[in-house]
Amino acid sequence: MGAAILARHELGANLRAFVAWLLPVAGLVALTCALQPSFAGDGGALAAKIQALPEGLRKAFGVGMVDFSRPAAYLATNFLAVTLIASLFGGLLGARIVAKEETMHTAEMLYAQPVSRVHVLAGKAAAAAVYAIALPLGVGIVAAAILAAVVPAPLEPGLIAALFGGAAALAVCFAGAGMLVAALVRDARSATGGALAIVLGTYFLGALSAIAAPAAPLRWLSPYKLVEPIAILARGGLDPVAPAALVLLGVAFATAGIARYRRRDILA
Amino acid sequence: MHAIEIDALTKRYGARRGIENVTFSVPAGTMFGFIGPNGAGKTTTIRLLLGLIFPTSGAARLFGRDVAAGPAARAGVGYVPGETSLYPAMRVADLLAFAGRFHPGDHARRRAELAEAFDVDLAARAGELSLGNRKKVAIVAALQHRPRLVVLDEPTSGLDPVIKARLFEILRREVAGGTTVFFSSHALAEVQAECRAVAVLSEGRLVAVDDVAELRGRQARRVRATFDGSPVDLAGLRGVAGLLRDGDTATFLYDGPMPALLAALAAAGPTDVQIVEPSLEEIFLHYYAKGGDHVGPA
Repeated sequence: MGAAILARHELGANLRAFVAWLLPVAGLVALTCALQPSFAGDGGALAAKIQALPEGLRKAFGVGMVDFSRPAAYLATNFLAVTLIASLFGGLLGARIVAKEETMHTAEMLYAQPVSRVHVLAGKAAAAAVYAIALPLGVGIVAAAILAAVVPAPLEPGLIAALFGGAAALAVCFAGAGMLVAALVRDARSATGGALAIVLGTYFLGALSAIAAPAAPLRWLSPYKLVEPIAILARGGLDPVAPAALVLLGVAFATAGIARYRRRDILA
Repeated sequence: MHAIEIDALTKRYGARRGIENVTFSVPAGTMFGFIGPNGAGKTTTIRLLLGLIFPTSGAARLFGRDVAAGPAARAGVGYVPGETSLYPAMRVADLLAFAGRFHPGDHARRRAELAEAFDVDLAARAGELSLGNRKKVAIVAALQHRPRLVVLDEPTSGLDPVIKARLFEILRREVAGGTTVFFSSHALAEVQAECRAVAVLSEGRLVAVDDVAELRGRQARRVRATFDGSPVDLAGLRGVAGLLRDGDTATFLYDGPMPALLAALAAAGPTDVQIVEPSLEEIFLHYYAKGGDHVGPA
């Protein structure tokens, strides 16, 4: 009962923040998608320039397969912003949803209720997961709708769904990591700072692993590598193991966070 | 039957003191005061009782259930924190409904009655409320589910006298119906007026568990007398403690018979005399300076 109460409460409490993230990202992606016909027509020179970049750099920034005539490939080439923003949103939401109670000094009233901390935090985790999935999926729907409206070429909806599905799995993974960070530190500022560092730090580790061969093993520290847009395109879809692994990782992080928070003194 | 049992409860925050070896119990169906100066450890004790923090050693039970065993011990408990913070974006009505959902049953009618009694604006957003109004919302949230134990940490701070009176009227009614009220305060007058028994905490240690009548009977007055010329020697007067002299002014605590004090002062011919209720800190220093040797049964 407690988890459901908290999940409902957090869904309501974070709706505005969700909309505030969704609208600009969806707008940006809609604008990018609306420009696809121009790139499809005149993108040859740009594609040649991109292909002239060092392979490592192309891999690092996810522009390895340049075919602007295919909507899914065009989207994949421009997918870095969606991936990073979805990950940032997930990480920050996961951190804030736990840390805010102590920062706002509402923790005392909440955790004094006859409900276990595990249920409280499980409810919060569920709400964070819902929004972490909803942001990339919402943006994906907008992207698909714009592309369908402006692009004469076949849409390849399976590939587009795979791209945004991968971003959603990343967001869930980072939401769990954010919750763990919040359980380890005392205030919301440190929690959000820590979550930000993890989201960006693991991204740059992944980029570094693609640029420099000696740094290649670092790819195992970067969740982004599991759902790379280029790899999704090359494979023709999403390897189901990858999003499952990311979601499981997120659940494991959240569980560790809950276990840590369960015995923590609430002082504010 | 005891509503609260605290057994050798100790909490240390690293090297910092919390509470040390505190033991007392609160009979069910009574209004019990919990007093002590700021920083004495009252809030720490309450947080331990509610499972918000975890003891270094010792145990606490609510209606026989060990607090450490989980949230079931907090079933039927209402809590008003000392520093009341609410979700600022929520409307008061939604916030109260949210708090009520953690307790079984429909509390809408009772909630409306309490909101009316405490003049709570249900349509306001919590972030717009003053300290007093936030406190009133917290009181309604704590009482709406008809708890069998109400834990109040400094509940009257920020409340106007009318609302304070209403709060105590409602609490008296609840106690008459069998509810236990655990009332933490540094305002001695309120505790004396409302509670049958009190536990006194000082510097993290329990220094007394007394009947309020007993405490009231022993209460000292602070006396400040100014004399024309050098002050007379009052040290010999029975009941004088903490005598301080500053020029022609003498300040002391007095807990002897008032006629004897007035006679002694009149004989010395003072130019000014002030007799006031001392601060709680002064009473603690006066009665409980030795710490721990004053503990008696509730």
